[in-house]
Amino acid sequence: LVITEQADPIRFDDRLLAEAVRIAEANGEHPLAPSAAPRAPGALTGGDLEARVVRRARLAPVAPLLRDAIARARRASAWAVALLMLVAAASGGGAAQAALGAGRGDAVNFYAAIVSLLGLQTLLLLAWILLVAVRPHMVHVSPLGGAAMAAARWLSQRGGGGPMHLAGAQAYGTVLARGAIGRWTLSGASHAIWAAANAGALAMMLVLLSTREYAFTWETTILSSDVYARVTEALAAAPRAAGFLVPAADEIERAQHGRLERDPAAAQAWSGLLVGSLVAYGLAPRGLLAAASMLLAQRARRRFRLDLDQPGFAPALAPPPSSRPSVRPDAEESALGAARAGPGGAGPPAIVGLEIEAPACGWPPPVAGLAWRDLGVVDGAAERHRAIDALAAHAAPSLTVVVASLAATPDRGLGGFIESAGRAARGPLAIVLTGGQRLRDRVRGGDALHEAVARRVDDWRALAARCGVPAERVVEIDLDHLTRATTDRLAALVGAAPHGGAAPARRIEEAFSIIADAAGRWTTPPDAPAQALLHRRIAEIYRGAAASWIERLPAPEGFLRDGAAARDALARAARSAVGLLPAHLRLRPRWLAAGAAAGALGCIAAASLVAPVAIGALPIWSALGAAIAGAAGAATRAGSGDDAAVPEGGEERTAGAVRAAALFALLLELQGRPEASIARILGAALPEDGDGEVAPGADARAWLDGVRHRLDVAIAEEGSS
Amino acid sequence: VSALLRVAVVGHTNTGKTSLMRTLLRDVAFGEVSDHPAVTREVESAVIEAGGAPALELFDTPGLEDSIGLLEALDARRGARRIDGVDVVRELVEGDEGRGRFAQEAKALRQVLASDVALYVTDARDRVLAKHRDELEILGRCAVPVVPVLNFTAAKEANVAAWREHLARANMHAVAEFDTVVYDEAGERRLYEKMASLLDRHRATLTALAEERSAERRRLLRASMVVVAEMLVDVAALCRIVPAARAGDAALTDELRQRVRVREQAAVDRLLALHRFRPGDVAAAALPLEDGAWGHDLFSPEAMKRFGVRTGSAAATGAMVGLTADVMLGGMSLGAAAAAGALIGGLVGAASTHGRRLVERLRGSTELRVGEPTLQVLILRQLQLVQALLHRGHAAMTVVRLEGKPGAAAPLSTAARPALKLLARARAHPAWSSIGDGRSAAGTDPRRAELVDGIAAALARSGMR
Repeated sequence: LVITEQADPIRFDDRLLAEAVRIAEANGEHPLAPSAAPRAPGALTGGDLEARVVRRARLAPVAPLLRDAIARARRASAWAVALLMLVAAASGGGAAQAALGAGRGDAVNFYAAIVSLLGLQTLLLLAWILLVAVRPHMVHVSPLGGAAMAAARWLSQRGGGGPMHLAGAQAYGTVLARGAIGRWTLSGASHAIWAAANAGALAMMLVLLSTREYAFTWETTILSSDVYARVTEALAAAPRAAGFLVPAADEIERAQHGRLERDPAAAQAWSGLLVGSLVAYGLAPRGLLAAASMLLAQRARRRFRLDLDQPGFAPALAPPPSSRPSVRPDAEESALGAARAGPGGAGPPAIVGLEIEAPACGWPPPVAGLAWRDLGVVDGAAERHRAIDALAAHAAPSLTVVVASLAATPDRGLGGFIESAGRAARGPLAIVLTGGQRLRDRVRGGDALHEAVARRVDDWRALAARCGVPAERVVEIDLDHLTRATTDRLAALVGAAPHGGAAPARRIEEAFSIIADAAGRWTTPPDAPAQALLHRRIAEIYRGAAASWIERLPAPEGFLRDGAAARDALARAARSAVGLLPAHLRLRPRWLAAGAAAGALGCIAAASLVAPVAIGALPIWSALGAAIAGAAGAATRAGSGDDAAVPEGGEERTAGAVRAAALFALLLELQGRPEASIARILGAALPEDGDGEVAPGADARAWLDGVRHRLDVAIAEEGSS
Repeated sequence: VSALLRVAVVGHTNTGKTSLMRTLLRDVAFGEVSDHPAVTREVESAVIEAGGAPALELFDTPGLEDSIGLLEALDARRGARRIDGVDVVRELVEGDEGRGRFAQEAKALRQVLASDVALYVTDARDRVLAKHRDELEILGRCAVPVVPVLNFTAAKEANVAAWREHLARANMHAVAEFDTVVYDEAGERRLYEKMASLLDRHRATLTALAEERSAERRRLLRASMVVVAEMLVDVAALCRIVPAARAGDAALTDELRQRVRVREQAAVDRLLALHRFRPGDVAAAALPLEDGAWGHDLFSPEAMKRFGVRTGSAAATGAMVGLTADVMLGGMSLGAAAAAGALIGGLVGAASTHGRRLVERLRGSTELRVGEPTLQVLILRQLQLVQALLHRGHAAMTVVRLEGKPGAAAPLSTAARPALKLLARARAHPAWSSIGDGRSAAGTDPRRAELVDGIAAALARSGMR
C-alpha cells in the first residue's frame, strides 16, 4: 500500500476531483452512490487524511465524468483568455491607430499619444502593485481577470451537461478563483490580456510608422519647456537602455510647436522613443508579470491542499464504524437456584441489609411491636457468610427481609446472596428496596424518572423471581425517609400489626374544608403570603404523618430569610411537585402552575412549621413567582403552545390558589405511596381543563367535593389492582 | 509501526463500559446501552485508527457481576499451592466454573488476559463496596496493567474523592476521570496519557491518537461553523422583490419564512450528521431539539425571548416578526474592504448588483428579506446546538438541560456580533442565496465562499470549545 502511494502521488487534479465530489454531494447529488466496484478492505482507511479524501474521490463511480468536466472547464477558461487576448490585441491596434492619427505628414502630439496608449494601463498596473503589496487578498477584484472567469463560466456552460458537469465546473471555478491560486491565476490572465493589447498596439504602430511619415511635436500652455525636456529625458531612460533610438536634447527642444518639420532623423528618434516606451512600459512589464504570475500560480497549485475542515469532507474522514461480532460466543449462563418458598418458620422475622448505607431511620428499621432478628448490614464475603451462618443457625424466621439499594443494579452477585439467604432461612424472603432518592437524583425529568424507577424495580423483581421471591414481596420503601404510611407497609410486609391497627386516618376532608372556607372568604385574589398561610394550615393537619415529608422538602436551613438561597430551594420544590403530576396533566398549564405553586408554597409552609416565623414578613416572595414560573414554564415549553395563554383574571387567580391548595392536600394525603401510584391517583382525581372548572367563592366546596369523590374511587381502584 | 494495542474494557455491570466504547469510537451505534444489568453478553471489539493505521483494538466485555463469588472461587482453587495468581485465573476461566457459574465473568477475564491493558470502568456515583474491591483484586491478579476510569464524574453526587482513595489503596494511581455522557476533550486526552504512562511501548501510538483526536475536534468545530455560516449567508442574502402594493401580503411573508425554516432544518440535519448523531438516536433525542428539529418556530416571539434578542415593537406584536421590507440603501453599505475594491475597478460589479435593484425599486417594487433579529436567533441557536453537540458523549441517554434563560445567552450574544457584521455584506448579493429566486451564484462566486469562511472563523472565535 505504501509503495503504491509513493508511486501515485496526489496531484492538483486529484484535489480538484475531490473538491468536485464534495461540491456534487453538497448540491444534493450522490456521486458515491453504491459503487459496484468491489473495494479492497481498508481501501478507504489508512494514510493521511487528505489521501483518504482523494482516494475516496477516485473511487467514486462518477470520477471520470467529473474529471472530464474539470478538463472542460479548464479548456473553456483557456479559450476565454485567448479570446479576450484577441479582442485586446485588436483594440490595442485600434488605440495605436487612433493615437498616431491618419498620418500623411500630420504632426503627432507625442505626449497625447503616449498617454492614450500607456496612461490607463500604467495607472492600473500601479494599483495592482499597490494591492499586491498592501492587500494581497483583494487582488481577485482585478476586473479583467474577473471578466475572463465570467467568460470561462459562460463558455463552459455552453456545452450543457448534467449535475456532474456543473459540479466539476464549480470546483474548477472556486479553486481557481480563490486564495493564492486565484490571486496569481487571475493576475496572470489580466497581465496576459494587457500584454496582448500592447503587442497589438506595437504591431499596428510598427506598420504605421513603416508605411507612413509622421512628424512629432509637443505643446504646452501652462508648463515650462524645461519640464518637458526633463520628463522626456526621464521617459527615454528605459528605452535607451533597451537600445531604442531616442531624441537628443536639441531634438526635444526643436520638437516644440512642430519646429521639427522635415527632419527625418529627429522623427526617427521620436518614433523610436514611442515604440521603446510601449515596449519598456507596456509590453515588457506586462509580459514579465504575466510569466511571473503563471509561475506563482503554478507554485500555488502545487501547494494547494484541500480544506479538510469543510463539512463535506467529514464522511471521508470519519473512522468507519468497525464493530465486530462477538469474539467468542459461549454457552448461556446458568440460571440461579430454583424457587423454593416454603411456609415461614416460627422465629421472629429476620432482617439483613445488603450493600447499603445505614438508613436514616436507624438499623434495623423500627416497626412498632416487632422485634427483628437483626443480621446486620453486610457487604464483603466474610460478612455475607457470617449472616448466612447466623440465619441457618437459629430457628427458621417467619420472614427474611433483605434490604437492598434501589440505586444498585441488581446483579448476579446480589442474586447469589439472596438465594443463599433463602436457602439458609428455610422460609419465605422479601426484598425491601431503599435509597430510592439516590436513583431519583440521577434521573431528572418527570416521565423519565417514573420510567427509570419502574424499570429498576422491574429488574429487581426479575432477579427476585430467579431467586424464588414473588414479585409482590419486592417493595420499594425508602428507609431514609420513613413515613407513617411506609412504616405501615413495612409492618404489613412482615405481618406485624400496623400502627393503631387500622388504615391511616384520612384527613383530606378536614383539609378540603379549610380550603373551601378560605376560598369563601377571599373577595379579592389571595396574595402569596395568604396562600402560604393556607398551605401551612393544611400542612399542620398532616403534621404527624408529614414529618418525613417536611424533611424531604429540599429546603436548606435558614433559606426563608435568605432571598438568594430561597430561589433555588423553591424552584427545586416546585419541580419535584410538578414531577409527581401525571403526564396528561403536565400538558395543562393550569395544573402545571398548580403543581409548581403547591411545591413551592408547601416548601415555605413546611419550613415555617419547623421554625415558626411570621409568614407575611418574609423576604422571599419575589423569588416565589420566579420559582413557580420557572418550574411551570420549563414544562410548558415541552407541551403544546396553543393553550399556553391562560387568561390571568382575578377569578382565575383565585381558582388557581384553590387548585394549588387542593393539590397540596392531595400530595400530603397520598404520601408514602409509590410515585407512579401517586401520579395515577392524581390523574384520576383531578379534572382536566373544561371538565369541571373551579368556581370562585362558595362553589369551590362543590368542586372540592367532586375531587374528593373521584379520589375515593381512584384509591379504591389502586388498592384492588 | 507499532503493534495493535489491545484494550479490554471491564467493570461491574451497568457502569457504562459500552458507553465508554461508544464515546471513544465516536459511534452511537456500537453495542447496546441501557439502564439494565448485563446488557452486553458477549465480547465485542472495534478498532480505532491513528495516523491512518489501526492503533487500538477495544474490547467491550460483559460486566463482572459476581466478583465476590469469583474471588472466593479463585482463592479456593489456589488453596495452599504456591502458584501465581494469573495462573489460577487462567485455570478457572478455562475450567468448569468458567463455563458454568462464572461464564459471564470468564468471558471478560479471558479478554483481559489476552489484552495489553484493561480499562476498569466504574460509576463514580456508586459507593465503594466490597464487590468493587474484589473486582480490583481479581483484575490485579490478571498480570495486566489496569487503568481505572471513573464514569459519570460530571454528576452532582459523584464520589470521586472516595473512589480515588479506594483505588489508591488497591495500588492503582493512574486513575482517569472520563464522563461518557458529558464529553470532555481534556478527559479523553488524559485517559490516553494514563494508558501511555503504563504502556511505554505504545506511548507513541497513544500520543498520536490523542493528537489526532484534538485535530479532529478542531476540524469538527470549524466544519460545524462552515455549515452554520453557509446557512446564515443563504438566509441573509435571501431577498424577494415584490410589488410595493403587496409588501404586507401574509402569503408572501409566509412563503419566505417557510424557505428559511427549511434551510435552517437542513443545517440542523447536517450538523447532526457531522457530529455522527442520527435523528432518532437516544443521544439526538436529548439535544435541545425535539424530534431532530427546534421546538420553537424560528419566527415566534418566544424564540427571540429565549435567546435574549431584543426587537422592536413589531416583534412584540408578533405580526411582522423577523421580516423587514428592507430599505435598499441599508443593504448597500458595503464596508471598507469592498469600498477599496470598488475603487480599483470592482465598481462595475457593485453597480451591476445594485443597479438592478435600483431599477426594480424605481419600478415600484419593494424587497422582502429576513430581519436582523431573526438572523441573531439563527446564529445563537445554531451556536447553542453546536456547543451541545461538542459536549455530548456518544453514550448520553438523559436530557442535558441547556439554560435557555436570556441571561445565559448574553455572552453568546456578544459573540455573535462579528458574524452579524460580516453578514451585512451578504445582504447586498441576493444571488448568493441558494434559496432565493432566480439563478443562484452560491456555488460559483468566490467572494461568497470567502465570506462563508470569514463568518465561520468569526463564529469559531466566539468562545466555543
